Amino acid sequence: MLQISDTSLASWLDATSRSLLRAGPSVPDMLDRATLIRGRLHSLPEILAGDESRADVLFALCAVFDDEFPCPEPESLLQEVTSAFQVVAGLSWSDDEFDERSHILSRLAFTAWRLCLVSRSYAELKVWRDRCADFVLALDAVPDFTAIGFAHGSSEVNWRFLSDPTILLATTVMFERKRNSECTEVATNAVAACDWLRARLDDASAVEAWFLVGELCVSSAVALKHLGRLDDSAAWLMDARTCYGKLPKPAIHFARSDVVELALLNERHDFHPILSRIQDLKRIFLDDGAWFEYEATRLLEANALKGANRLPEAIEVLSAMVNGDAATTNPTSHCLAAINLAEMRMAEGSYDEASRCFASAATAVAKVNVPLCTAQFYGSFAECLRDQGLIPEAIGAYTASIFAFESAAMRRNAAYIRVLLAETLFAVGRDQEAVAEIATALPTIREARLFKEAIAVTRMLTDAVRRRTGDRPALIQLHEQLKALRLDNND
Amino acid sequence: MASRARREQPSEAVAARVRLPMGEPELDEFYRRVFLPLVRRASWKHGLSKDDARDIVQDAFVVALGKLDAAGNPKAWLVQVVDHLSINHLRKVARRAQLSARWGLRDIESEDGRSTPEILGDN
Repeated sequence: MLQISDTSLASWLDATSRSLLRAGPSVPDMLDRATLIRGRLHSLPEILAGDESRADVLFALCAVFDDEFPCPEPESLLQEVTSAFQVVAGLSWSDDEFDERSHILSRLAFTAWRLCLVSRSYAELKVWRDRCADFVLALDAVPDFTAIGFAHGSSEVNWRFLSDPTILLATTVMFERKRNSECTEVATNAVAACDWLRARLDDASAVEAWFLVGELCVSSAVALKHLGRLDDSAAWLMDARTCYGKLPKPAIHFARSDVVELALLNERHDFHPILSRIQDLKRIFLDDGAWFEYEATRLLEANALKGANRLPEAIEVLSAMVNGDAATTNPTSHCLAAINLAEMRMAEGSYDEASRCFASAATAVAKVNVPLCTAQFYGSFAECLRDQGLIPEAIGAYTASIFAFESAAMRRNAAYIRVLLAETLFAVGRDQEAVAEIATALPTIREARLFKEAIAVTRMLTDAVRRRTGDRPALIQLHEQLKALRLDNND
Repeated sequence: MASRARREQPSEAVAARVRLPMGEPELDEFYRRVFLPLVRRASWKHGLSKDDARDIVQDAFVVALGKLDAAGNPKAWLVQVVDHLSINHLRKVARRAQLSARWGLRDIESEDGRSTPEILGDN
């Protein structure tokens, strides 16, 4: 690999200061050449073999494809772009100091993505989107930029990067990939990127740009949901729908934002609207071949069935997920399904089956490496240990679950597990520790208005006060605070 | 731009080509593997003419001289300098075009340039 240093720059500038350097073939010449070879894409390797202007020709080809927009015949152009992508991907490319091959491939993938957005399924759109993103995110400068974060980057830096549509697309993908595991970062930076982009668009802007704003809105909504900011999350979903409404085929994208909206209802324990809408959404995803979204929707369905106390149906859906293709199409949903199934099997007394499910879930958790899955796993496992009377082990598992939720800034979930931990601690007479857990969870319970948890805690504290154990003044103080919270809710 | 005064007219570009001194393989390699790729970036990513792109890259080298961190990622940094200078150049051209339009002047400097592609700009 060629080293660039001050010495090499100084030598270069010294040697070239009196020279008029060739800048390579002119842009118009290359555009003409690209137009000519467009009809012979399969012969490109032979045409470009040993040609010094190969990179220029291929960049020109990308520009020629871009000039076709708005495209009256997206299908034929998509075929051409696909051919070009395959040919370029197969070319051997030495001395590529500045990742020009990746640049060209990302531009071709971006063009194919644009065409799929108006003419193909969401599944195909995602394939091209991911190809573009993978090439862009592997480029040297882009990870440096994304590491700064949009909220902290200057407007100048944001403009320099985000004005490149391939980087913008890759950024939305990056947020989508991170929104379930690094929700604090996504909630900050996706919101900032969304605001930045939206301020630069108007009704005449391209549908692709509006679509990307919609994607940023959904990622913001998902991250905010994990952080317990459910109202903010709902507002971002409304914005996403507005953006998707500008697309020629918005149904699949409306469905994707609807799933997040139903997940919000699930957080609010409002299960019936979920169950009445979920079959339609599953059908939309099935028809489109959007398997990832289909599995996520099935998981939501199972959770809603469980919440609505329709346990056999929930077990049926979860079993189908665990034993089906979800492990490959949506590993995170598969993992969460295995955890839920294990917990439900344990609750119905099928201990052998539950053990098998937990073993399978443990493998899946290690594989996906998503904090949400780790936290859920420990939380469910703790419940089972407690039900079997293995209290010290259960307390350890609850603590691990709280740690995992808090490391992902999922304070709402962490507060819920703290309440379960407090209940366990009270049960074994460790009242002071229980009170400490409740005191830690209380600000989140109040802020996120977790009324079910508040009621449970009030009951626990009432019992503890009656038993006259532990730190009595602390118990009474907490009890009063929780009673006030419940009264707020009744108001 | 420091090197703009030296720029040849487009019609002269082919005739006035000056090769790097042969027998200096390192410089030749630098030309092929660093200079030309950066010229292509400024040209195809930012829509500059090759002549403008060449000047931008030479300016970027001047800016980078003495500031390169060999332990970091000097290539990524150089790319950013080229992008930055290219965007500034485009802004300057746009401002000049605005002024020319306001005063009814003919903008002879930008007549050889390619217009900037704006992928997200129109539907």
